[in-house]
Amino acid sequence: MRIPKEFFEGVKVKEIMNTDIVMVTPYHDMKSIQEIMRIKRIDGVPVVNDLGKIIGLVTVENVISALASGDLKSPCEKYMVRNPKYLDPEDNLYTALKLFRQYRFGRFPVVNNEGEVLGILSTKDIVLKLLAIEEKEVKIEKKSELEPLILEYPVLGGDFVSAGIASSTVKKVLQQLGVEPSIIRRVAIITYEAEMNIVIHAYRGVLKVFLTPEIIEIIAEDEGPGISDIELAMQPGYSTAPDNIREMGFGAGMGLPNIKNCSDELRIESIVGKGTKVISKIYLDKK
Amino acid sequence: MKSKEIAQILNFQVISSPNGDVDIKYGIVCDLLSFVMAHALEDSIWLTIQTHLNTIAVAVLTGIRSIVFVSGQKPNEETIKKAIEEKINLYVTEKSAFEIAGELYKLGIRGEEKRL
Amino acid sequence: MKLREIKEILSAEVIIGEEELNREINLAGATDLMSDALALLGEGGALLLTGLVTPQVIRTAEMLDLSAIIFVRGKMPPKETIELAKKINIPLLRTKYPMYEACGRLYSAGLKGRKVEGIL
Repeated sequence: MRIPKEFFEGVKVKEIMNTDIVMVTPYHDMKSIQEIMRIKRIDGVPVVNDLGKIIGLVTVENVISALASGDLKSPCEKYMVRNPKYLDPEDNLYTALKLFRQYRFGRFPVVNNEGEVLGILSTKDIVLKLLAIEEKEVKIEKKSELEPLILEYPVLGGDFVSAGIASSTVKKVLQQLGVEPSIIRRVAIITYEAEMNIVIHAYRGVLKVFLTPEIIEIIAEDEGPGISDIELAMQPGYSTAPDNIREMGFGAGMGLPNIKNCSDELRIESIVGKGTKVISKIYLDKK
Repeated sequence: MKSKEIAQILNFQVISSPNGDVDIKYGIVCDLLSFVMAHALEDSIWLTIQTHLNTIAVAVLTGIRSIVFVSGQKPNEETIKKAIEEKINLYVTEKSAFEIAGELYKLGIRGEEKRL
Repeated sequence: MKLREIKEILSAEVIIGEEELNREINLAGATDLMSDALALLGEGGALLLTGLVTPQVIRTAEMLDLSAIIFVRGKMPPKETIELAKKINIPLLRTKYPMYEACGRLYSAGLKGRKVEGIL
């Protein structure tokens, strides 16, 4: 079977590109990009500057070379493809396919006139278009009642672009598992505040959620400055966040009180100069 | 309407009232200090959850004489001390900014902001 | 109160979600701080009035399953905010009124707020 050229010319890149993308900054380390690729099931991550304009693309091949050199802690600037070839959203699929054949890359970012990334077009997207099948969300199933489901996501300090993605993913998983909406909302508030705390205050951290039929445990652990007076930090209105964070809508000293309010049990461990660990529990069998 | 009359009608907890007779003409709800700095009019009553010391500095710069901390947010000692020094009335209420703005609106106080 | 009525009261412009104006709104909160929204609006049918237009506003809305967001002071959100909102299917409106004025008009029309309980 040969598909006529007119068919491809009639499809625009913007209609079939994947818009569910994650963008990173040049100082993101390769390790967290590897995690983003794994969690989001994508194989290319655009790198943007402070103005949101594309300056590079980290591909799965770049991650492999960093991995091979045991250098995953380096910023992605070192490994990314600089000034990558890209497609225009108005390009048609025929033009795109010619570019795929010419360069033999697996994916191209789709960039508008202002240099902003709107999506990514990969060979997978094209195949899916041809098959006219909708990509279904992967169902996550619990292996057994005894084994807890563990979700784990890296969070990078200072990264306001992808802040909230971890919490959003946790929420979606809990919804798929059919957890009660009022519980999901509490978990969402806890994870989101904890994630923002890492973004605002720490260098890097990890958000973990353990789920069993009886309990949901949320652990947010970071490498950062730590908290010298936890009792003070728990007081509503107390914050060490600088003014620029306040102007972004955070740092009003309500984060920890919000977490406490949504938790059945809360413990905070912190070592100044090392980091902080927030452990929150929600009991599910409380009737 | 006088600041202290408003406080009484809306049942605010009075933290400091060194300037209770000041006349309130307008209302503003905003938690972004730089915005308030640029847009607030004198004679405004300011509703915010920002209890930080810098809030007082912004009030001084804009000429605002009355601040209501909403959603039960309580200022710390430092903020209160500075407010008294600068003759700024501070009030606390458990109600949200939305509700208090609504109540003030019913009292005839309108929202005006400087346009740049 | 329907979102459509709120749109009329605030002479608001619909940025996205024209087909969602029949949503029922039960309560509103007005804040520029996302933690305040997280404390105020943990119930269904909630509307957020804010002057902040960053994608974090949409993330917050997603966490709380908010029914709609209205940007006050005529602020237009950037593209990434709108894109994210489309993805979670939340209507975005904007009004020229300042936050205070928007609250006053909606409250006078009978829309309720909610006081923070518990911790504070």
